[in-house]
Amino acid sequence: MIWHIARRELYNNLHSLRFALTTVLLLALMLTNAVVYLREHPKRIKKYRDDVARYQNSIISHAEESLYRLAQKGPGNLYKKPSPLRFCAEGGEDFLSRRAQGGYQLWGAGTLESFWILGYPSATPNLRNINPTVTKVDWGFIIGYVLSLIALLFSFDAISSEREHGTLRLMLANSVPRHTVLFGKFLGALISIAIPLTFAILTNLLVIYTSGVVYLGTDAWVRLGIIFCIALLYTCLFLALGLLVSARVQRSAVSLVVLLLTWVVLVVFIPSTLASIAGGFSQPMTSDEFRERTDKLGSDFWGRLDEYRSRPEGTREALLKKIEIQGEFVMKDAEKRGRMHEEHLAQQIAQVKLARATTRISPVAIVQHLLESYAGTGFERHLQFLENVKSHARQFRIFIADTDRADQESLHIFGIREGMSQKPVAPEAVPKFEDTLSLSKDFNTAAVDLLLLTLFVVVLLSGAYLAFVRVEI
Amino acid sequence: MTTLWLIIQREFVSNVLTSRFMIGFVVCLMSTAAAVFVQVEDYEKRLAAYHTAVREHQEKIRTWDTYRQINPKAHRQPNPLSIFNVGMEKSGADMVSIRLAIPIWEKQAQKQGSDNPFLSIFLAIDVIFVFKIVLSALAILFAYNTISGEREDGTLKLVLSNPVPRDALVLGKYLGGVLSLFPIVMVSFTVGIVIAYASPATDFDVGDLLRLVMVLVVSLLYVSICYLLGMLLSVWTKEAATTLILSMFIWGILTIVHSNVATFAVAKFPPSKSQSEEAALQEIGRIWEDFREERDAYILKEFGYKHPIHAIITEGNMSLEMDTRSAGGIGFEEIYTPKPIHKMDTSKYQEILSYQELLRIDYANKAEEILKRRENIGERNRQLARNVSRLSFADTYRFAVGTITGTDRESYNDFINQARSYKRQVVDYLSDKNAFSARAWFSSDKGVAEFVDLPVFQHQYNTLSKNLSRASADIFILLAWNILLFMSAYLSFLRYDMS
Repeated sequence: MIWHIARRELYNNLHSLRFALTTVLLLALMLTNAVVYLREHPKRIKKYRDDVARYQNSIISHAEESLYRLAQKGPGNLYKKPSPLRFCAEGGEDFLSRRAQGGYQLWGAGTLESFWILGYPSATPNLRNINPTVTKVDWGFIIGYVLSLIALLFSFDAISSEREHGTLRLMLANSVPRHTVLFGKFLGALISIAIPLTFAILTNLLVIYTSGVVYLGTDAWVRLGIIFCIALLYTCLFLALGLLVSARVQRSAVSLVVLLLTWVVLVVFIPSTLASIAGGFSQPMTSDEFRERTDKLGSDFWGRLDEYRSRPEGTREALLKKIEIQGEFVMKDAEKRGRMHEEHLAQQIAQVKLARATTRISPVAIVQHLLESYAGTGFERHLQFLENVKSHARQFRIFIADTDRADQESLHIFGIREGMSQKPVAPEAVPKFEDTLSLSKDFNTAAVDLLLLTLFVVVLLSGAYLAFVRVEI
Repeated sequence: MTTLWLIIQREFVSNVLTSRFMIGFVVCLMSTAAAVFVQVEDYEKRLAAYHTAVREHQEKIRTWDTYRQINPKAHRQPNPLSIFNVGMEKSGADMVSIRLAIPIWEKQAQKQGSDNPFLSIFLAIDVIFVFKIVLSALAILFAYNTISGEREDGTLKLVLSNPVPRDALVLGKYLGGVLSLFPIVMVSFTVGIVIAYASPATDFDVGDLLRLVMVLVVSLLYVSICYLLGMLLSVWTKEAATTLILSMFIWGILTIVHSNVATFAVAKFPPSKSQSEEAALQEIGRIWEDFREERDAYILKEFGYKHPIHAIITEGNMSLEMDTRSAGGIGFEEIYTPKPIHKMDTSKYQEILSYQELLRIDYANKAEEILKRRENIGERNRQLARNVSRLSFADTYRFAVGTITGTDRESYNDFINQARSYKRQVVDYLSDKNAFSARAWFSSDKGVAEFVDLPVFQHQYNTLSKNLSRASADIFILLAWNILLFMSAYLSFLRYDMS
């Protein structure tokens, strides 16, 4: 019986204006998305490759000079690998930096030069983009905003219009249980939306796949499959919401007003406003404060510079002592500054995490987080990249320490040229940074979101069921 | 006349008494209040950061004792109207640091204050955004069944069988519907202003209030367009349900999809291509090589030195610290610290400096031209994206408001240009003081540099009339849409087939 009702709904929808409009709109958006992506992605890949090549060249030239130079300049700029699935979710990538600075230059004062630390430059999208604040036409936008609106337009009159036309009374006069009617309608609407959606997505993927610009491996197809399922789940959520309201109100027009305004609040308004409000609860170090503290470290240093420089160096012991003190100073300075950068970053991340957690009240935020996780873009991905950067930095430090220890002539005093190995290092031996994307990690971050989304769907569906069971005709 | 008045009254009352009016009213009011609340807090932070920055800069000026250290800063004053329309306010640079040898470039301009760059991944919502989305939806929801709904109910036939002219009916329905929407706009906007006013940081002057009134007027124009669109569709379609679906799709495309697709497309297929950043930097590098060549040739000819520093070195046997840097790849600064300076006769060096530093400023201006050229091309693409977006009146509305409040891209560019003209002022100031040939340029041992009357940068917002004239095109487009849609609705309704 469910299938019977679902089929009837489906046939009704196939003839309707909204079905035609939905197909055209989704197809147009998905094509725009594919075309733009195909134009953009090769550039992105090329830029990434060029940057990585430049990074490796600088490592090689430092390594060939001496271990000290390599240790002082650090691992250089480390670049984030662009995800091939960026067309699924832009994830605000424009506002996230593409790189971490593994050789942040601080100061140089004659013979004393600062040691590297990890720096985190921020992105400057204003320079590259015409209007960086505009929402990107990615799957996240198409699914999150457009598809949800479409789902509401397919379900707002599901029950109320039948009641208005009097057909609901006729239908329920038969021996059809109410839940069958409800789920039949639900399924019918879901299939009616799934058809144009699948069609649009397949066209999009076909264009991307046949262009040969990007290679999508098994992993990518699995991710795309998951994203498609998420899109369907999200559609279910809004269909259930539509049915719920449609069952509760008397007239379709009122149902649409309520749904539309709910949509505006849930989808458009809540994510950003809540993010701003929640962000206000956490007070990360401002850049003024940060600058002040950096300046203070700097003035500490400049104040004592002469003391370090003008130590006597007559005997070998005195010279050794001087090297030791200078080395210690340089290393301490780098450590302090490094820690401050880390602290600044950690506070900023904590603020964004809080804001993102709060926006989970809105289903669109959940879906966007999910799409970002599976497409390998966005904030979580950026955190993964930073994690990779940090582990590479550790590896790099260990490598320097080990190589220095292997050199008998070195004094093993870090931070200063005289104290470290002067021999060149084989460039192949230096650890190279390779940014990686892993699905299992993504799945962990996405699990909560997935659970929340399912919970929303279940609650709304039960709500719709209860509302429909109690409908008086 | 009385018929018209009657229709207006009936339409107004029947709209106001519906549940959609109440729901729309509450949602619009709440979201406006929340948006203003968030933005006021943000504005307070920006204002505090601005004041701190200006104060710190004043203190910094007092610590300079040579002219060479001069590094005035142009701070952008936060715009109180950004509470209502954020625009470029938060995404642009807040401060331009002015160095004589370095061209002014947006990339080098800085952001300061309590900013977490990661937060920009969230959309900033302001009153205008709320209006753009919510009010348009409400207007369409008010209008969709004006004609087709009455036709379905059969009341349209009844009305028209009376001696009611069709034009009076259309006009009456339009005026009644729009009038019932106006209270929502007015109350929400007023509540927004009151919340903003309650904050101690905001200080609106008469000009600001006038601008806000203009924003309100433009918002009303926008609401009226949306209502007319709904009405037109209502005339064109036979069933209210079809009107609703069609108008919702058009609404979604106009308010949400269109501007995104337009900007996206122009950004990815830019009609004017600019030189890559690397190429521009290389060109600038060559300019600085030219500078060195021209200077060295001149010094060799006039003074017989190969390099300016020889003017000091040959005077005696002394050590010299030298630091040449190409600031961020676009400038060229040299710092020589001859030691011990007090024993030296530096008159020749000073003569060379008075020539060299002015030349350096000339070359910095040349380098700036290259950067400006790139900027202008970017600006042209932006302009195109804006023009394409203007096809949707929702975006025309956004641009009109941005221009009136002074938070648009153009006003931001004005700030950068003001910083550039401030730099010229500073150069003139130094020339007037003969600072380039003074010993205090590089050393403070015989008299320190005086910066008492150094011109201070004061960010000037455009006058209301200038902003209005800039916004006039957009306002005109909005008016034209109003007339066009009304005429279409009117003409279509005159030919409306009642059968």
